[in-house]
Amino acid sequence: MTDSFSSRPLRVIVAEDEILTRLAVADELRDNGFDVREASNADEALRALNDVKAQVDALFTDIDMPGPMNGLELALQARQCQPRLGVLVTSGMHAVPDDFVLSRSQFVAKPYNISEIPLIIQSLVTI
Amino acid sequence: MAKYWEVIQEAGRVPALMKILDVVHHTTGLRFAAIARVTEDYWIACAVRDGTGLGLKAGDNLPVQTTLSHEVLHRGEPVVIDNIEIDSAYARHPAPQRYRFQSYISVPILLPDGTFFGTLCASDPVPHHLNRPEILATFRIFADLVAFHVDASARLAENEVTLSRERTQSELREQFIAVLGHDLRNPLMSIDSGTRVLLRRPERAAELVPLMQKSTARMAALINDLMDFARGRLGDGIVLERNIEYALQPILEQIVQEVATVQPERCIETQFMMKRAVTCDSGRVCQLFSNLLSNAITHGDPCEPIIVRASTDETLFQLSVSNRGKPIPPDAQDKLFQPFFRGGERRSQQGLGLGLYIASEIAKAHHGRLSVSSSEHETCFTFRLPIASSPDCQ
Repeated sequence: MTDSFSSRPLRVIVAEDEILTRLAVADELRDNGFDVREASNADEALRALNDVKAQVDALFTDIDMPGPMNGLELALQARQCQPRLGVLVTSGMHAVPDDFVLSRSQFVAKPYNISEIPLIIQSLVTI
Repeated sequence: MAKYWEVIQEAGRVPALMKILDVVHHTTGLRFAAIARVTEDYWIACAVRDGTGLGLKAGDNLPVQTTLSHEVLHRGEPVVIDNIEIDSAYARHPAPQRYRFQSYISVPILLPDGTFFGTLCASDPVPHHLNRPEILATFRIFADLVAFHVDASARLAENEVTLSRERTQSELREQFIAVLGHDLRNPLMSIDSGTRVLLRRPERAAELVPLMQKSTARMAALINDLMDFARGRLGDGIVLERNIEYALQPILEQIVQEVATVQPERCIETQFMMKRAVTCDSGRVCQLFSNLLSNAITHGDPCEPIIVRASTDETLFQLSVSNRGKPIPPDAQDKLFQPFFRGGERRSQQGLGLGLYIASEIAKAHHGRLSVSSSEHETCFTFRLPIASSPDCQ
């Protein structure tokens, strides 16, 4: 998948503490042409965001991860760094809390169909 | 006392009850009137109208044997005295002199189920003609009104407690369902993801299969916890397979070793003095111990050692796990052994919050006890199991 205004691949950070889920999602995204950086918690995801000097297009994050920051807090902080960031939030819970409001974002409940993730991310980036 | 404590506390502020005492005064001229909670052990004023300067007020108590209400309690019948000086029954009773009255009336307050609650009583320093049918009838009616109020108040208080308990249970159920969904969906997703990656990249099997097995084990552990919870709450408690365990110490040491292997950065010190065998379900004791150790690792100061102590003497097996770190607040300590209590800790891959509940059920099933003490110095969980005469360790 590429940015519609250039031929560069879309850049995604995948933040998920479940190793196998993270591997599967990252693999699926890479197979679909995404440039993927992986993180096992929110702090790692923020470091990855800062390490990538260029624009990051989307963040895929689980909500419950080890560490002081959860995925929702990560999403809000990441959006402050990268205002056009698309955000895909996932969790074993049914839905995000009512007070979580973020534009260009979507929630998918576990267990989700991994094959659909690249298309969802693409749709968030091109909004 | 506890059941009617709120009634006793609040009666003096209830306008209807104070009105009854006013009407008693206006009807009879008696200048002292009171509603009292009376038992074999105490006489407590619930509401008082004191026009005699006796100095009694709501909440005060009197030695019950010094009161004529005590007579009413035993006789189940009213006591009526027009003039104490010529009353053959009570002229020598200490109450008139002690409480400075010459005329007196007291009727029992009987609750709808027949329970004796106390008395509606009134007195005056001068004689009054009280022994008349209409006076007694009036007092009986007022006593019934007081009984109705007491009963209604007690039921209201009980209903509020029940409602609060039901609300808590309902919140726990909601939380349980949400947490269960989350804690099962995560490893399920993980296993599904693992099969997906494995199909595409079979060369990674050696790396992926152990991870999938870990997820399977997590689900199995969760289901086991749920089954134990169900047995504890819905069934007859956790069932044990007790044997005389001669080698409990090596088993406990092995658990410490396993934890230390997974968490090599944590210091765990052991102090074992096990001289006697322990009749117990060793598997369940290990489950309890693993839980306590896991909690100490999660919540203890990572820079301080965890201390494990196990000992037996003639009558007791004690197993304790202590850690340094933030103390557990006293109000949280009361709830620690309740299911799903997570103490406001942030969610992580730590399960349903059933660990300490199950550990306490294991202790209970052994007729033992699991307790906690926590201060700035240390937090310590202790399992105590009484042991009958048992052989020495081999």
